[in-house]
Amino acid sequence: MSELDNGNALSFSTIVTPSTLITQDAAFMKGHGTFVEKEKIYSSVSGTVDRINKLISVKSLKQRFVGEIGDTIVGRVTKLSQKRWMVDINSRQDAVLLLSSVNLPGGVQRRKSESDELQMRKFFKEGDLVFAEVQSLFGDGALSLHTRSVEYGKLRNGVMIKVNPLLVVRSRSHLHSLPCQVDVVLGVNGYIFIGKKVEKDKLEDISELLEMYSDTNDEIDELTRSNIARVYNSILILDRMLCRINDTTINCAFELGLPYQTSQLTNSEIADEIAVQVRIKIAST
Amino acid sequence: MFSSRAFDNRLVNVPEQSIPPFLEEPKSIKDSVINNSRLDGRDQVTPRLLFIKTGLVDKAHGSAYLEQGKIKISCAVYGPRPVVKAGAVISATTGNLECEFSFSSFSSSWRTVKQRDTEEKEISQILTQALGPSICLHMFPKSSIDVYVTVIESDGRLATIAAAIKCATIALVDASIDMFDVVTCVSASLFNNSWVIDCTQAEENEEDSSILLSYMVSSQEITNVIQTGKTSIELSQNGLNLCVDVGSKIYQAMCQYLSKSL
Repeated sequence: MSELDNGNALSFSTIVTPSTLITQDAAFMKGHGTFVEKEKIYSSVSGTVDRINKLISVKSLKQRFVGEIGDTIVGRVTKLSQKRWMVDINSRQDAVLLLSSVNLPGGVQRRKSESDELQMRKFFKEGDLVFAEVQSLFGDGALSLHTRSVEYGKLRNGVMIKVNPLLVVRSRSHLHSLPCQVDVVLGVNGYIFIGKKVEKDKLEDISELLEMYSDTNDEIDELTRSNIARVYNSILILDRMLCRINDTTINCAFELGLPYQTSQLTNSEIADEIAVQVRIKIAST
Repeated sequence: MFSSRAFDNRLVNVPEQSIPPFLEEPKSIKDSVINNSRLDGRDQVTPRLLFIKTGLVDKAHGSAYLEQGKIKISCAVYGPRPVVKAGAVISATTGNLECEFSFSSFSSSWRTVKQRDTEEKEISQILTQALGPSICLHMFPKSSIDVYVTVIESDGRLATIAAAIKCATIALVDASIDMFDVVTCVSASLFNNSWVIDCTQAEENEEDSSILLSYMVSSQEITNVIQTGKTSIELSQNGLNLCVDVGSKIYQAMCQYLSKSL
């Protein structure tokens, strides 16, 4: 059994493998990535030891996204069940979107009828992209989502990209309008949606079923399409280089990529160059 | 000999008498093993050298590639993710572990088509039994962890299974799945009265009995033991103890790699 310290002086960034003894001191509490046996704390994953006051946890780069109440999430509907949709959010279990948690046409206070239940596919069907917020947790750890607000709901007119969830930091707002007429929705679970800019005044009109849950995309002109592709490649660059992803860094990467053609941004040499410059720029601001 | 007919071009002209070339007597593998002079130069208790590399399969959450002598194995781990397998029991308190083991058709000295189905299923069960106790399944209710092992080249049936278990453990650690411990696995074969560790296919063909032991070193728990053949209790215990010792050394090598690979 390999032991790290006496338990008194724990060093940061010590690398551990599963079943390494971290400490025998009963004063510490166990966090993520550890397990306790006979009052000793062992690590259960491969990673670095992180100590915050009395909490010991082991952090590794590859951990699955674990949602918390209040997280804004982008997900894809996988299954329809009795009065609920199952949504894939890149986590251990699919999240649950209850029929009672979505806005139905006809007003917020409308009672759910049987016909609603039978027509669930008219609202969300398999493969649709949903922008939602975590309302609560089920007993087994599954997330319960809701779209009871004007900015949440079905996403259209764009493309989804999957990144490492650790790079999207939880912040106050997750829907960003970039100067290039492109909207970016940052899901904390690592799913990011890039789409055509949504006009603010259209958000007010939530009474029409066709408006809210329509499946047809609008007409998107060539310049917007090209910008969406650029933003997509910029986010790919940030993901590859493990840079934090927020609107500042995306804008930065986008601007630094303007001299190149969109297709050139996928070239690994150019991507590395841009990533290094983004890092420098962010560090200096 | 000399005939009036013209030479027939289809006939090869050979001498009247032919003598076979002088061949060295082939060494009996069993003898060489017992005399502690194995074909590859190892002694009886040394396993083959390990080569491990993680992260080769991009799409999987964790992956590992392992080479031990001629054995080459690749493993991909997905999870924890929602249960994919149809008909699997979804428990609200623990997660599922599904192992799938498969030989490539070119992995052994004869090409196999689909004859290995039952054997692959059996080995998948062995994998599940060996790895199950080491994973913190209570932390992943209603989720499943899927382990897919592919043997690219095999050399010794039990040795290949042992290598597969080691490869799968490393892939699980690479996927950052919470585990109680790293599982090592050792195979040993009995020749007369001595146990020999990690036998190649040629050596395994002449064995009297064999053991496959999966062991968690830190908690000193054996997760799976398979013994074939007939031995006395004493010999059997010797074999198990020897496997445990060798397993601890392999465990150190695996942990060393894991901490360096971060």
